[in-house]
Parts: sequence; C-alpha cells; structure tokens
Amino acid sequence: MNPHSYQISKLEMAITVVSMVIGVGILTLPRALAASVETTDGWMSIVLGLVLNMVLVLLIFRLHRHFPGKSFIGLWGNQSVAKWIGKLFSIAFVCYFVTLLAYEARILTVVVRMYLLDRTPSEVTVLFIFLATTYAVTKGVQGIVHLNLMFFPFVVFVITLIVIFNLHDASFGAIFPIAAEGITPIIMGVQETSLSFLGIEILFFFLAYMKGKDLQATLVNAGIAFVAFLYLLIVVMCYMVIGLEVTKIIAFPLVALAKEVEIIEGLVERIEPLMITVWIMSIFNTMAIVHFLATKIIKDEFVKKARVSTIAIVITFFSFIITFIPVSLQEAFMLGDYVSYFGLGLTCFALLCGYLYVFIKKKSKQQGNSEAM
Amino acid sequence: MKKKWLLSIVVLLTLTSCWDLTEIEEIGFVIALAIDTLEEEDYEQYKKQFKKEQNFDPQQLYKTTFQVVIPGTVTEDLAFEQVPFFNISAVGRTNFKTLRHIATRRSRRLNFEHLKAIIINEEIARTGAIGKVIDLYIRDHEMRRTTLVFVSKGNGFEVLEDKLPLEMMPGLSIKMIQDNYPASHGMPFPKPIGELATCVVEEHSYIVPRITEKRGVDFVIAGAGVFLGETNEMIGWLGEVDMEGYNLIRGEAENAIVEASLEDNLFVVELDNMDSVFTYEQKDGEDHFHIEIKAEGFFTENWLEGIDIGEQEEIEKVEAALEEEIERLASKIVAKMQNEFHADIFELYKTVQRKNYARWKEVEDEWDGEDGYFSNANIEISVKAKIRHYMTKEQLT
Repeated sequence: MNPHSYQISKLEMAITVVSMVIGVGILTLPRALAASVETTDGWMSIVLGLVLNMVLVLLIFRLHRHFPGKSFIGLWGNQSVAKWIGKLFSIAFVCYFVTLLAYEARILTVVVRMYLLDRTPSEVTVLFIFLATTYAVTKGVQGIVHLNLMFFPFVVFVITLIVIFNLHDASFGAIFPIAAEGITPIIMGVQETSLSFLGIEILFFFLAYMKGKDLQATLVNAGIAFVAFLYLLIVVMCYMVIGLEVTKIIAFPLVALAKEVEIIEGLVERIEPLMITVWIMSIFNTMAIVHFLATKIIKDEFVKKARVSTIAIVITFFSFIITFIPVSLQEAFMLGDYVSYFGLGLTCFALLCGYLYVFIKKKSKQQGNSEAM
Repeated sequence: MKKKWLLSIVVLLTLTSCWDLTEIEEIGFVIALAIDTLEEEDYEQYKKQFKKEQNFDPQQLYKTTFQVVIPGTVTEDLAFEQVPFFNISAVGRTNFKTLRHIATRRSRRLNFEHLKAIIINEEIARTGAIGKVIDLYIRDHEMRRTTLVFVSKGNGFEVLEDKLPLEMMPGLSIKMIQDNYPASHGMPFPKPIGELATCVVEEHSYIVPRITEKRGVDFVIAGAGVFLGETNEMIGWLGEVDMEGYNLIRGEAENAIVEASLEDNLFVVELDNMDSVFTYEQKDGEDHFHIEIKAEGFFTENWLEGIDIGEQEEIEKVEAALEEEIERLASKIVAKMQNEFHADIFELYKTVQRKNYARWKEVEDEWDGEDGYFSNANIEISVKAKIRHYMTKEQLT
C-alpha cells in the first residue's frame, strides 16, 4: 500500500495534536502549578506557556515547508553526514517515544487501580492497554487519526460537564489578588506549563502526511489554544472549588474536582468513574500515536523488512519493562519530568539542527549557482 | 486446527471475568459514622487488653460507630418489619484498622461510597486532631468530598441510635435536616469534608456544625464548634443566637426570620434576600473594617399595638427597629469573637488579602489569637433593611 495515499486534512491534524497533548498532564497540572507558583496566578503561566508552544509549532511548520511530504527523519536525505545525523535523531526519538509510552501506561495503571479496579493487578491493565495500542498501530496512520476524531468530543464533553457542575460551588474571589507576589512566580510556573503542551513534536512526523499547500500552523495553533483554554478552566476551577492549599497536596486534582460533582440532588452521585473512563480514551489516543511513531521510525530507518506488528510487539516488550521500573508514584512522576524535559530539549534541538541544515543547503546551492555562472 | 486450539485457549483465559466483581446486594453501605472517645472504664479495659497483646501502651484509642444499610429492606415499601439499618462499633488506634476490624465480625465488607455524615466527638475536636481523624475519609478513593461533617456535643454514637419518623435511618435524617439550613438561621451552613480539609490545611479559623443528642429521643443540628486555624483545636461553641448573627454577617441568612421588638411589642420579619459587603481600610496603622448588611423581606407576624403598617411612616419605624435588631445580633457575635475566642471565623482576612496584600503579609502570622490583629481591629456594622410587603393587611390587634 502506498503510505501517501492517505492525506491528513488541516482539521484532522489539529485534532490529532489536541488528542496527543491531552494526556497525563491534565490530571496533574493544577497541582504542579499550585506547587511551583504558590499563588493563584497559575493561569497566567498557562497563557505564557501557550505562547511559547505556539512559536514552536510555527517554527516546525515553517521548517517542514522546505520539505513537503517528508518527515523530520526523511528530510536528512541519503548523503553521508546528513544521513547519520538523521539516524542519530531517529534513535533519540525512538528512545523518547518508548519511555513516554511507558510513563503514560504507568500513570494509567496508578489511576485505574486507585479509582476504578482496585484488585486488578497493574500488569494486566498495562497489558491490555498495550494490546489495544498495538492493534491501533497495525491499522496505520489513518486508523489512528480517525480514532482521535472519534474520541475527541467525549473528552471535551466530560471536562465541560465537570466544570459546569462545579460552578455553583466555586468562590470566584479565590483567584484574587492577581499577581500579588509579582511576576517571578508566574515565570516559575511557565516551567511546568511549557511541558504540559508537549506532544507537538509529533508534528515532525505527521506533517509528512499533509499536502504541501496545507502546511499552515493556524489551525494547529488554534487546537493547542483550545487545550490551553481547557487547562485554564480546570486550574482556575481547582483553585475556586478545592482551594490553592489543598490543590498543592492532591495527587490528581482533576479527579478530586470530579468527586465534588453531584448532579441534580444526587441523581448522579459519582461522576469520577465516568471521567476516568473517558480520560483513558484520551490516554489511549496519546499512547497509540506515540507507539505508532516509534514503530514507524524503526521500520523506516532500521529494519525495513520486518512486519509492522512484529516491531510494535517488540516495542511493547521494552515499554512494559520500563513501565515497572519506577517503584512509587513519586518516582513515576520523576520519570515523567525527565521524559518531558528530554522531549522539550529534543524538540528544540531538532528545530535548531533542521534550520541549520536548511541554511547550509541554501548556502551550498547559492555557491553552486555562483560557481556555475 | 492448532490455531483454533490456541484461539480457544486465549479466549478462555481472557474471559475469566472480572477481578473486581462485587454484587451490589452483598455490599455493606455505610451511611453515617461517629468517632468518639472511650469512657474511662472501657478505656482502661481496652488499654489492658492492648498491652497484653502488644506489650506497650496504645498512644490513643477511638471508638468508631458505623451505621450500615441492610439492603433489600430499603427497596420494599414502607411496610418493613425490621429496621433497615444496624449500628456496629469497634475500637482501635487508627480509623482504617478499626474499620477493618469490622470484617472479623460482620459478613459484609464496609463500603463508603454513599457515606452521608461523619460525626466527631467534641472531646476529639478539642485536642486539635480533627485533620488526622478525617484524613482517611478524604484520602481513600472510595470517599467523597461531599460527606457532611459534624461535631457532637456528648456522645456521637447516641445520635446514630435515634431513628426519626418518616426517614428510614438516622444517617439520612441528619443529611436531610442539614438541608433545611436556609429556613433556620440558628443552623450553620453545611460543612462538606472537602471544604473542611481545605480549612484544616489553610490554617484559617472556621466553624463546624454542631449536632446534639436529646435524651434518647431525637437530635438537634444547631450552633457550631469554633476551631482556631493555627492549631485546628476546637476552642468553644457558638449557640443558636450566635449563629443567627454569624449568618447575617456572612450574608448567608437568606430565608431566615428575625424576631424584633418595637415599643416592647414583638414582630417577625422573614428575610427574602440579603447580602453583606466587607470593606477594609488601613488608617494610622490600624485595621478598619466596615460590614454593611443589606436585607429585605416580608412582615409576617404582628404583635405590635397601635401601629398601622399600611402607613409609610409607620413602616419606616418598623424597619428602623428591624435594623437595630439585626445590628444587635451581628455586633454581639463580633464582640464575642474578638474578645472571647480571638478567631476570625467571618473570613475578614480575605478582604485584607485582596485590598492590601502587603499589609496581609505583615499581619498573616498574628491574625488570630489573643491580642492578634483580628482582635484589635475596628469593626463597624451598618444595616439597611427594607420591608417589601406585609402579606394581608388584616388588623387583628
């Protein structure tokens, strides 16, 4: 099958990025922000983080406009040095994706064991989610993108539900005074929020499936702005309903927020199982994309002959092992921090190298032209 | 053929049903619980037993009483023969150990997903352990953040023994009585456990509704325990009249009634709408608060003589008397908090925080407490009351 027979439209791309970005972070962001900012100004950090990431997205799109139809690995071509740089990047990205996959799976099991199935062994939960993502991977990019489209409305619906039904408990005064401690804590918060938009790096690979003339960042940026809006609602809601001090010490503030909900005088008394189920859908999306990209890079760059499903299963094996390396929730969060910093670093570094490459290529082309003249 | 065998084995293995299966009919839902201290005799006995088993003295012992629903009886009509609940108590050092102890004595495992009320004995509240006592009931995943918390004057388990008419079990009655808070302003606002946890962590003073058992017949939810933010110790009670003043200051007495007098004769006004506004100003290094209470309502009961409430002038007189009464109630509680308890339960600190953050940082650590900034602040109260209508105008007196 020709891999380029399917083209991602602009809207599909935006929703894929949104699905990728909404993951573990949405559960823990309010706590991370409350802890690092220590005032209720965390929402401003979100806006700043958003702006930073919008710039990154823009840069990725502009880079890829030089190489329509090619992924970030593909753009290095087959020439001697560039080819090896490409190989190095593919190893780095595979490591990153495999670890990220493991981290998401780990947090998934923690949440599922804590709130849904307290006697089911974690290993089984992980096994089943990997089984599902492996299946998704074998369906290729079209399958995954369409799954994203399908799950996206549910995720948004449940989050909106939680926010709306918390409104009557919210004390709006809680977010005042604004910027009482000055700007410094807000900047500290950007550390957290810039990481919470991680997931945009998938653009390096997915843009290969877009038509050259569709390579415009506007819709994707609108997508992550929408994610920022959701984050903002949740964070502000947490401060207004459960308070800054408590948000600091709850492992998953969004779940706590869901626990507050009581719809129509106890008609629906517990909404958090529903919320977690839908959250699992969005985690599944994230994991499927990551799993797919790791598989794809390995198949394209290293073992061209192997079947996709074989590679996917081998990746599952490694991820499964990494999943259970952290012993406690604290260690898992630490792993998450490392993965995120590595991801952000890798994204920026890849961008830098990409632009350098474009610059050098242009230079040599000009030189070639002038020599010919 | 081999493939088919493999497939059937895989299918059989994956279809071994669910680890977490529990039949709803076989769960013991806890609807309310009370945590008490032990009586002297019992304490000595349990202590002796504990020492025999463990070889050291227990640091603490609490008695927890659980009210468990008997399923099946609930679904049938009101014509059940047995009571649809049972109470069971256990003693232990910590909450979790205590409730697991129940598993050795009753067939059903306890489940807290529908827990409505937690009653904490006054004696425990006074030790400042309220945060630790409720910790399990907010930490565990089964727990909800909307469970109501009460402080009991006297033994908490006795409250759970009084089955009131109409409702099936005391636990439900407690919740439904607390739901009446807009109608009586001697009753404080409900305190869900999630909110209480916030108060405990934030170290600002707060109140928790009081529940009192009355001679083995019924119980009363009125008044509240005052907790000092810094230590989380309960430092005293607010009575029903205090609560009226408190609710008026907080602007929460929306459907309450005010009994006032004019020329030694009584009249009653039912409030329909009310609000309060706090303003703060720092003058000459002192904190000045102004509390403006706005209320409007209906004239509902008349014991007055020689006053024609149809006349505008006369009604203004009545309104003035009403304002005076509201001011009296409000000033009384403010004076009590400033001079007796030294605890800012009105959340006046929030106004300072918002208006003058620099000042707040300065006084933050010495806000509550004797000779603290709250006790020395100047608090002025002004009231604006309006009587919107007086029902029918028949003159009976």
